[in-house]
Amino acid sequence: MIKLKSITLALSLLSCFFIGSIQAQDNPQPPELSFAFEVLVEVADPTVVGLLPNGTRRIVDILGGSFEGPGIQGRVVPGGADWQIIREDGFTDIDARYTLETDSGDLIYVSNVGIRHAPPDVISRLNAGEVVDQSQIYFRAIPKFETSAPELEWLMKSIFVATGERYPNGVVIRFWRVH
Amino acid sequence: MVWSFAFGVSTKKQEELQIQIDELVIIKKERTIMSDEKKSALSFNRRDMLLGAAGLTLAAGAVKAQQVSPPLAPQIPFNYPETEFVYEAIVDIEPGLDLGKGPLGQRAMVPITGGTFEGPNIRGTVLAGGADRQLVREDGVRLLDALYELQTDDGVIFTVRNQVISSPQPGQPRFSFIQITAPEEYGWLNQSIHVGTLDSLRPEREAVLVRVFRLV
Repeated sequence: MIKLKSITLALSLLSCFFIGSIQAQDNPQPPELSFAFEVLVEVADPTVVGLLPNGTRRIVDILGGSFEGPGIQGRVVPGGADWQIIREDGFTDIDARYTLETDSGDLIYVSNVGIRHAPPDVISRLNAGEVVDQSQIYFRAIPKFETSAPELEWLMKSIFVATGERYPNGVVIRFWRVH
Repeated sequence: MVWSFAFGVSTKKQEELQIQIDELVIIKKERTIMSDEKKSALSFNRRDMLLGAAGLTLAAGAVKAQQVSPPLAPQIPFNYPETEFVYEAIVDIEPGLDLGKGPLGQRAMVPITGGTFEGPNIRGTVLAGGADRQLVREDGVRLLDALYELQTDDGVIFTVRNQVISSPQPGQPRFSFIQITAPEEYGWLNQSIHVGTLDSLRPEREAVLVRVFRLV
């Protein structure tokens, strides 16, 4: 048994040597997140499609809004929506798709897919249209952007994450670039 | 300033974030001047919504553009997302197969043959049988889309999908977003959005190093 352990140890030391300095840091450097822009989305009352095997499908139409960040600003083009599934376990699957138009007329297609969850009482108050403490809600997503504007191509060359906050008549989404 | 910083943000990071915010506030001030002149419909909508968020009721018609454009809405605190290390995986791979050029660009497939992973609350092996499908876009950016299984030391298997954007410039760091689907025993992995880093371990080992961070 001891022999086996020492062989294992020798092997793991050997593999450390082969892998070099890149392996197994105790505290790896996390990626940095830098603020890209925030979107204020005005939304309609949800259309409830009904109960499906994976939860309740509801569609929240996007009526408009605005967005702004360093070097970028504009409006939310009316006509997008968030196709949500409210799952039995209290999670909401978020699948929002909409278009942004910058002040200079460039269009950005946004697809933002993620999750939202909170303690049951917070969720029921949120669904009842009340203002709730946003720190109790986990509302995070992964956005993908598409644009043909050359000055906005950075939107298609990085990973971004999104944080969201839900208010009775709107949603605040902040996009962060991963560095 | 009303920005609230979450716990655990390093001083350096805070300074960097502060610089970003200062830039933002300057832009906001510039815009305020602009919107005073133009009565921008943009700020109008913003204020209307933020007042709603604060639980106030106000007839939309009564809002005057001059009152608009609070510097980033004091009603909504600016919460910074943070990340938390989950695990790192050494994923053994075989040389990639060239799949030729498809309608969207050059394609490749890299088989995943094994490996190990370890983090503060989790460790185990990478199961053979997964693969990474790659697409080189017209602009030279390489998109990786890896799908594979990890098995913990206590026998639980979960599925990882790792989608990476890889810059055509050599030496650039590579980041990804990672979807994890785990059974109940590791249900906490289902409750967050994850991002990752990707590094090659060549030439020492035909493998990549994937570090996974939870978006807090």
